[in-house]
Amino acid sequence: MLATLQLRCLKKGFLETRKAHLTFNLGSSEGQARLRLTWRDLCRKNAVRCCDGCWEGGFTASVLSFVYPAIKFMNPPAIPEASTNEVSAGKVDGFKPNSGRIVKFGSRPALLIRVNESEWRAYSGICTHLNCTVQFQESTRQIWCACHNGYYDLNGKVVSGPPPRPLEEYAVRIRGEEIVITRQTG
Amino acid sequence: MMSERKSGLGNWFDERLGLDAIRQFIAHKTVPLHSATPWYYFGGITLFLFVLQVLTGVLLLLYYRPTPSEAYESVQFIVTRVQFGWLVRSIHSWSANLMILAAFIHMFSVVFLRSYRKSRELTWLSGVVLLGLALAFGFSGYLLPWNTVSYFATKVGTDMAASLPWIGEPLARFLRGGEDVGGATLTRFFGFHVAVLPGLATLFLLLHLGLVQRHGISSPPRVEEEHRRRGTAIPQMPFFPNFFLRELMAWYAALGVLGSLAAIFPWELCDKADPFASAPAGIRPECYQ
Repeated sequence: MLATLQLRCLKKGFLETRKAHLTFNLGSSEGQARLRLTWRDLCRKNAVRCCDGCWEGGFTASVLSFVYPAIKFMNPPAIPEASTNEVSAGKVDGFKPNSGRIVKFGSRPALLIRVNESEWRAYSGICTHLNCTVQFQESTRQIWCACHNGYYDLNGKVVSGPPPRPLEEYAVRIRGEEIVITRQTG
Repeated sequence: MMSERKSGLGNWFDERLGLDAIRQFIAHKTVPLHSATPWYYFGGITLFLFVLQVLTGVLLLLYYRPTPSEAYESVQFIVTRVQFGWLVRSIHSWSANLMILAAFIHMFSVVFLRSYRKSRELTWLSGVVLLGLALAFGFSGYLLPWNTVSYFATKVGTDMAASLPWIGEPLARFLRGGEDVGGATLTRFFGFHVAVLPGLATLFLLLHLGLVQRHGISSPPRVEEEHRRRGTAIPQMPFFPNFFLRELMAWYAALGVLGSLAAIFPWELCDKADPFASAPAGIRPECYQ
């Protein structure tokens, strides 16, 4: 918009100068000379109009050549994220029965729950409502999101509160003493 | 005549903002016309480059991280991964240098045309403060990429400050945010560069421009003398649109020079600063050329 405004100002100034020039030329001529001048002026007018267009286009393009990179710069580059399908979440001994803990699953949190001696569950730790990180509530044996009081049961299904969908479930396997969480495919 | 042409929207804004007063002011503003008039453009060019610094600086802020462990990497990310990041950083660096150049040309033109004379002393002094602020911008900004040369330049620079009598040691400590240049210095220089200095510069810039409006533009004594002898008034050029459009062309030319320099000679990043490494042989700011 500023560029257009500047262009208008520039053009106005230029046109005024040109008008004054024409008046001066015509004023000092007579008869045939005037006719010739008018013809010449006509040519000049066309040339000037063409020149005007080129100039305007060039000016706008050159200003835009600085605006375009600035806009592109603001767009954050896509960083290819290594997709995580399997993580080691620690040793079996680190978890008491009826307890849960947030573990790292790639760049995102996952909630690992030891339901009892032999039963394990793992879910995405991100609440399906508005992206907060959930936690395991030992007293209710449910998964709770503190942000808007959403509850999920131990199957990841919504019990109450605003979450619209169940939590994404991961598979848990025990390899010796090690707990392994895997993204379920299909 | 003017009010007849005004649209309903124009009237609405006029009633609330008093645009007519501004219009009247601009209509009466003139610039003296003589052989030294071209020197008057350099103040405007400095201002234009300052505005570009603010704009490109804000852009760089979108990605820059002011900690020793991330600063260099974030600049590296800007110049290698962000679209046109190399160009934005190059423009910021080149524009900084050209701004100092334009500010010095502006200052010397004021000295040689003797525009600092009576009634304009405060304009001169506020200009000196602005030049000091511009240099402080340069000194604080130089450290931010956290590369070898900027690290050692800051060590040297703050050590030079320490050699001042009386205030030297406390000043160096204040600048470094501790005994030596480190993470605390980087955080502090970042704060100076993006908050303290811009605030101060805006204040002094408003004062400087306000004073220029108040006193008008000075003519050199020899021009004044010549016209006094001849009994004529110094010819004037209307500020708007005549001078303004010429100034705009000067800005456009400056943008062309800046864009060419930034594209042809992109600013280098060099190696990451290592506080436990010796200063490498041949270390000097020319590393950036």
